[in-house]
Amino acid sequence: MPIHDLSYRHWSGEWTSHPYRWWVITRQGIRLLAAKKWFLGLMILSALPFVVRSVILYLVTVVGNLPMVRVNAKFFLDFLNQQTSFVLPIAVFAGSGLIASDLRANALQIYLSKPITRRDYLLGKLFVLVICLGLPTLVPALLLFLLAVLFRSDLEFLRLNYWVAGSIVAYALLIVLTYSLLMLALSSLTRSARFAAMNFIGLLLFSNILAGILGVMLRTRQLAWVSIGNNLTAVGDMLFSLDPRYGSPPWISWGILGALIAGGAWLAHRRVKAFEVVR
Amino acid sequence: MSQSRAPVIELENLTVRFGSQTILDGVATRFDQGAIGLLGPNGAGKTTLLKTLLGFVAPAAGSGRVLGFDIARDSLAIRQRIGYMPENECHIPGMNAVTFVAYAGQLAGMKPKDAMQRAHEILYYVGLGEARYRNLETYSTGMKQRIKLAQALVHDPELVFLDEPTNGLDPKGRLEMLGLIRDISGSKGIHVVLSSHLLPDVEWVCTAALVIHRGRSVASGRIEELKRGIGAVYECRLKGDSRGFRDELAMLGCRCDDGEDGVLRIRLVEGLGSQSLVRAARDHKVQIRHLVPLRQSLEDVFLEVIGGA
Repeated sequence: MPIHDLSYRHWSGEWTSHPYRWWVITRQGIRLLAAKKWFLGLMILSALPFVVRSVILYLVTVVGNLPMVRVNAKFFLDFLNQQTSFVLPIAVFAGSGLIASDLRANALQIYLSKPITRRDYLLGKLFVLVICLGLPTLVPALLLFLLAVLFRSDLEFLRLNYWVAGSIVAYALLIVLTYSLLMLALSSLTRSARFAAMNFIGLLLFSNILAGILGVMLRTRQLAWVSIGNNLTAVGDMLFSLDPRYGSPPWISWGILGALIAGGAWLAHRRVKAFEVVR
Repeated sequence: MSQSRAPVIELENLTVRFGSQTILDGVATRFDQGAIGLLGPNGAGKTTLLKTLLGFVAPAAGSGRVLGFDIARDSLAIRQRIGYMPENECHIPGMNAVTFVAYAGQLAGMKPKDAMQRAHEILYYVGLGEARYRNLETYSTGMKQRIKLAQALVHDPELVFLDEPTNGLDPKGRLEMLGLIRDISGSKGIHVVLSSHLLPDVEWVCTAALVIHRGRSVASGRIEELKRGIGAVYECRLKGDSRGFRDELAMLGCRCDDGEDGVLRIRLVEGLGSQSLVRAARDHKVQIRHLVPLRQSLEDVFLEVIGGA
């Protein structure tokens, strides 16, 4: 019977190219999340509104027995805004430990002692969130748009609403990037995933409550931009060519969301180090 | 992976500063091959040197090359060819051993299938074959040390940096770990840089050493040469008035220390041998009752160079 050689043997296989090394981190992150039943449950739950909207779409466009529902830009914007209620828990469950758990387990030394840059590491972690948040937003919204086109026997809907597909992509990406980078930055600030989750929820709730209080006290909707969620809604209204629901100019919301995205990326990049200097 | 013909490590006036504090001050050395011990008291700058070689810390002045690659410019090429076993406990949460090691291989650039196959091989090699499906968080300290070694070796590096690899191990585990390190450096042609404050470990595994003290390189070279460089040591018992004998040895640059039970410990300068002692004893009319050469250890070298620095 042959005896298997258990001593050290040299390896001479092929290497993968470096530009895609970050994908290893994303793939592993998704694999670890997919092994968690509650996470899969949450993702399946987030698909239910898509199923409901698809049925509505069918009834409106094919059967024609739901005259009160109109399939227009607002239909898709409402769907994306509705999906935000799934985006938040998914961001918390998938993202709070992405960097915090690595910091707790001193894993950065493992990552960065390999031919991986800080940018690769962050890109890999970011795409875990982008995929997890893109699945309940961008993907079903585009599918819904496709169904709306396919259910019609003519190209009239597509001719009138082709630009909505671009709005869906832009708005969904904005939602995904804002929450992903915010979560990633907060995760990089602590070694506790729970603490990062609390900070994320706290920040969103606090900004919402503060905007509400200021609105009531000052009897104005001009300060709605204080809330992160309101800024997304305001930008959504603009992207889908709807009347703005808040009084503040949209450039303020664009500026705030841009600052959140850039600030989140900057903070996470600063916090991810292989070597902490202790003085 | 092809073996590089360039020196394993080449440092010229390497200086590292954190703010106003100088951690490494003009370190210069060159090692061609084999296992290199990195020695120094706590806070001497050993870990900083390792992390500078890995490209984690940018040098403030000077230069360094690892396997022929510049540490400031080619850190990714260096990290492709080296393995690093950190000092402190580290793992990637939520994984079992085989997934973790395979993941480390993929991070180094191996294809998933190759990495998984190699992970199984390496885990058997480091003695974790039976525990490879256990979650890392349930591992004992000794197992965690082995898994750190496994992730450093999975991509078949040309050089491995081992930072205190025997920390927290029981005597049996320590011997097994040192055996693995000796095997990879001795039989498998992998260069090793072993940072440790346990001098017997370094002496057992390494052929060369670099001693760092307060950020400066105070000795470097082959261990046998370093031992020779500090001179021979004799244990000697005398009968008669030894003052003249001691004075003459002191004039020659030798050091005499009183030991227990009237035993003298004499460190000769390079070039002198036992004949010099016999001659000095005869000249000063003392009788040598006992004269035994002591075996020099790396610890003697360490104490000598640290004491003199």
